[in-house]
Parts: sequence; C-alpha cells; structure tokens
Amino acid sequence: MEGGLALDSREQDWVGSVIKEDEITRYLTDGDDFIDDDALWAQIRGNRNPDPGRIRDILQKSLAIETLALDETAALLNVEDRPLWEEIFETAGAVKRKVYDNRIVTFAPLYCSNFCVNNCRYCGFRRDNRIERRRRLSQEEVRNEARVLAGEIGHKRLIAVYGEHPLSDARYIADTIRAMYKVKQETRNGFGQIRRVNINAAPMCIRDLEMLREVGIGTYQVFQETYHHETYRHVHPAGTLKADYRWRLYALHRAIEAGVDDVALGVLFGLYDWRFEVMGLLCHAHDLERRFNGLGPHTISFPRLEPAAGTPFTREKQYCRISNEDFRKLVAILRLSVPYTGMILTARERADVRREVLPLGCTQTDASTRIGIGAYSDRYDQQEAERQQFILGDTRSLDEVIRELADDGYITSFCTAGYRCGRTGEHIMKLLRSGKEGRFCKLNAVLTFREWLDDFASEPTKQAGERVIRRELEEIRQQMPSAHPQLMEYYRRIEDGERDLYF
Amino acid sequence: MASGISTSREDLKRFLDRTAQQILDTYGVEVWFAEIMGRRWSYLAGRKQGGATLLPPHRIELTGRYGLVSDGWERIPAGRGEAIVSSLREAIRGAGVARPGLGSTSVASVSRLR
Repeated sequence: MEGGLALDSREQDWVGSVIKEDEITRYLTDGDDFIDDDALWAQIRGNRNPDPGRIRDILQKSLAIETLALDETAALLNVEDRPLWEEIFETAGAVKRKVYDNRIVTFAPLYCSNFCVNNCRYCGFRRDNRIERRRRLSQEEVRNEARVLAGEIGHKRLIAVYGEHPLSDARYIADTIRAMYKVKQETRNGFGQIRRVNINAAPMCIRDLEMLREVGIGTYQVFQETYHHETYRHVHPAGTLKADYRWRLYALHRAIEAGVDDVALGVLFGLYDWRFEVMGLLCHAHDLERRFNGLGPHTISFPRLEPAAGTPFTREKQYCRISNEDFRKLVAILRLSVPYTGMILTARERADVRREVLPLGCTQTDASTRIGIGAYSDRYDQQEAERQQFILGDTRSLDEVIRELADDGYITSFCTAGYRCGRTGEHIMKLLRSGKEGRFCKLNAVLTFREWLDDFASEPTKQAGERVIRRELEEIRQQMPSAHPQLMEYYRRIEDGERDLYF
Repeated sequence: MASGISTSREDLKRFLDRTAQQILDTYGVEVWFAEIMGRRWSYLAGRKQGGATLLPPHRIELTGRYGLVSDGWERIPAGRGEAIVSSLREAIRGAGVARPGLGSTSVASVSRLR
C-alpha cells in the first residue's frame, strides 16, 4: 500500500478478494469504459458561445422530460449571458415541479462504521487519519440509533453509510438494515418506523449485492467521486481498493444486474473541474439507460468537498473549490440534463445556501443530521470532527427545516410508497417521465406530512404545516377530483392514529 | 391466453407481461408484478404505466417471493379475481420460481382468464 498504515493480514486477504475482474470487463466496450476524458472536454470546448435560441430549445427538451445529449449539456455549461442563466434556473425549477410537484422528501444519514481500508486524500475516514476515532456500531446500537430517528425525530427514510472494510462487509450491512427495519416506536399519536433504508456503501460484487437486495434495501448509492481518470488516480492512492476506477464506475451496473433497480449517482464536487464532472454524471446516466432498457439513476447527489479533521487536501492547490454561484449552475444543469431523476441536497451546505439552491430542482434533503458514529443516541450537540467524515454546514433540526420549507411553500414528504408497491426500476422511470409519479408524490406527501405533524411537530411548525396542508388539499380537490374522496378517507384515518396509508 | 411458462426469470417476466396485458384487455384493469424482498416490492413485469387511475395500490402476495399489484382490482368480477390469483400461484409454483435460485424444468399452465 502506498505510504499508509499497514493493513493486517485479515484486511489484506479481504482487500484481495473484493474485486472480480470479470464483473468489470463484461461492461467494457473494446476494452474502454464509457468516460472518454478527451471527448468530454472536446464537447465542452466545442459548444462555446451557444446561440440563445438553441439554449431555449434545449430547455424545452428538458421540460418534455427527455434526457439531454452530451452536446446539449455542454452548451448549457457554456452559457455566459446572465438573463439566460435566469431562464435556466427558472426552467430547472419548472422541470422539478412537473416531475415531483412541490414536495421535498426528507431523510437522515445513519453512519454505522468508519473503519476503512482506503486512503482517499480528501476523506476523514481514510486509513492514515490517526485522529479519527474508529467505531463500528453493534446491532443493538444500530437499533438505538433507529429508535431515536424514527421515534423522536420522525424520520421514515434513512441513508445508511459504511466505510469500506471487512468489519462492515455485505453481511454486516444486511444485518444492520434488518435491525433498522425492525424498530417500531410509539409516538404522540401513532407509531414511528423506518420504512425505507437506502445505503451508501462501497462497490460490491454481484453476489454481495444480491444479499443486500434480499433484505429490501431502497436505493444503492455509490459516488464516483470524480469521473476524471487522472484526478481519480491522484486522490485514490495506488494499491488501495478504491484506486480501481472501473470497479467503482460499474458498481451500479452490477447492482442492477443483481436486481437492485434503484441506483444513485454522485460526484464529490471540488476534486476536479465541475463542468467535466457534470458531463461525467450525464455519461453515466446515458450508459445505464442504454444498457438497462431506459433505467437511469434514481437520484443524483452533488456534495461539495468540505474540510475534514486531519485531512489537509482542501488546502492543496489541486483542490477545485466550487463557488456558490457555480454550485447553483451545476445543480440547475444536472436537473435539466437528467430531468426525471431525484436530486439530493445535503446538510453539508449551510442553511442559506440550501435555501437558495433548493428551488433549482432539488427533490430531497436531510435534516437533524448527525454524521458521527452513534451520534443520534449519544445525543451530543456539538460536531466532533474526529468521529465525522467531514464538517456539516447545517445542523438544524428537522422541525426547523420543515417550518422553513413550509414558509417557502414546499410540502415535506416522508413518502416511501413507491418501493413497497412495485413502483421501482423501469416502472417508476416510466411514471416519472410521463409526469404521473408527481401526482402520487402530492397525495402521499399530504398523508405522510399529516402523520409527522401529529406525531412530532412543535406548535409553530404545526401551524405552518397546517397552512400548507390546507392549500394542498384544495389543489388536489381541484386537480385530481377522482382521487380526492379516497385521499380524505385516508387523511381522516391518519388523524385517528392509523399509520402508513398510501397511494 | 397464456398457456405455459418455462423456468428462467426472463421467461417468467414475459409470461407475466402477457398475463398483465390479458387482464387489461379483458377487464380494463392495470396490474403489475413485483418481487418481494423484505419491505421492498421490486418491479418485475406488467404494466409500466399502471397507477394512472390514482387509486391506492392493491397488493396480493402470490407466493412468498412474488406479488401482484393493481390499482383497480375490485373492478374484476367477484370470483374471477380469486381464480386469476389461484392460477398465477399455481403457475409460479409449478415453474419452480417461487423462490430465488430454484431451477426447475417443469412447465405450468394458467387457466383462462375469461
């Protein structure tokens, strides 16, 4: 291993067993992967000074919920005219509302283990980081975390996060997910449960992914970090497991092959030029769509690199800091490029940035976020750098975030209906592209928001929420009259304490 | 009408696609099929536009592994729905696909839907 703390023999054996070459080569085309760095730069450079008429045509294509071609996204990346950017931002919001209505889904991360065999230069969990306090939650500790999240805060949807290490292999991950799903906590007016567990974990072989599929994971999320080959090599030291660009690049292809049909892309913005990374994400979406019958990413994430304890990378000259203005642009262009996908804006960002970026097409956000291992049940309030992967920008409670969302006209949704009634994979892709899923979003947002307001809301948040619900019910009555009677029946049953009714 | 399925997953999907189409043609009801994995009902086959009516999904477990979802199941005449479910259960079990990883060469038939 390059310049790091040595792995013990068990770790070495495990590292040597993870990558299956045939589960990479089967996806290559003439020995090449689908990211051609030079070709992507040629697209970006070849679409400079785009004609405003062409840009508006591209915006219309996004509004028709069609995935953009590379040259179209490259043209958007080259817009310099400020009024035209305002049109782009506005259209990004319109696309989001067309596909998902005005709901924002909330979730919480649950970090289960920070042991890691890798040595990524930007990451607080990297093996060489001696000041990081290592911990792996036991199954009882996982349940305790889930009890706080489901029973005290009111989350229904988690993203469980794991370092890449034999202590947190697929078997451990499967056990933790079972533990999370088992939790059922009494609340003020009903009960709280974790209804959907998504995972952010290292690339795995198909056999391990099949094991995870069997325990009913929601979305499988693997961020490529950077699509730029040379930068990838630089930030992931040779000899580490994560150094294998292609093993990571095809992680989601393997997942789909294993039957996990909701997969999620992401880039760690700040490692390389953001325009290239946007093109890389689009290439990835194209390759999934092409190979899997139109099945593209369920979500795209776009975290910006943040400082981490004992991790000097963000002070190095290779660090490509993304300004707030460029961040807004990249979010809007991603929304337009892959119009059907969910887009996740996290608490890495400060509250003011989140408020500014959310209207540009985001569909999901986290709140009451703690990213230390065991941080929810330990109940510590201050961030502790030595047990976190990075430093959060927004530590507000779910109650505060929901109140702000309500004041801004959004309805918070805890909906997890789709993946419990076969609206996954190809099915949900069709519904998203046709705009039909947005109607389910609206109905289920009302029902799950009612649950949360009754079970967890503070009085000021409840008042703000009631205003939103009244407006939503009236819109549904007018726009979806056939669904309104059934909605109201469910709504009243939820008011009486029933839970988990959905369309 | 579908009269037999072989054992591979792709064959099963084709069979279920045909069955969903037949139910739609016969009763005007959208159905789709899912693989059940814990809480997850993962889309497998059938109507991808299902759900347009905005009614709550009606879920029926066909086996421990496979389920049927519909948003208009109650529109199928009394007795016929049960018969369809029963036939599907028999077909899936007969084909050896009720649980993952089973490879059987048996062939099952589904009774006529009408």
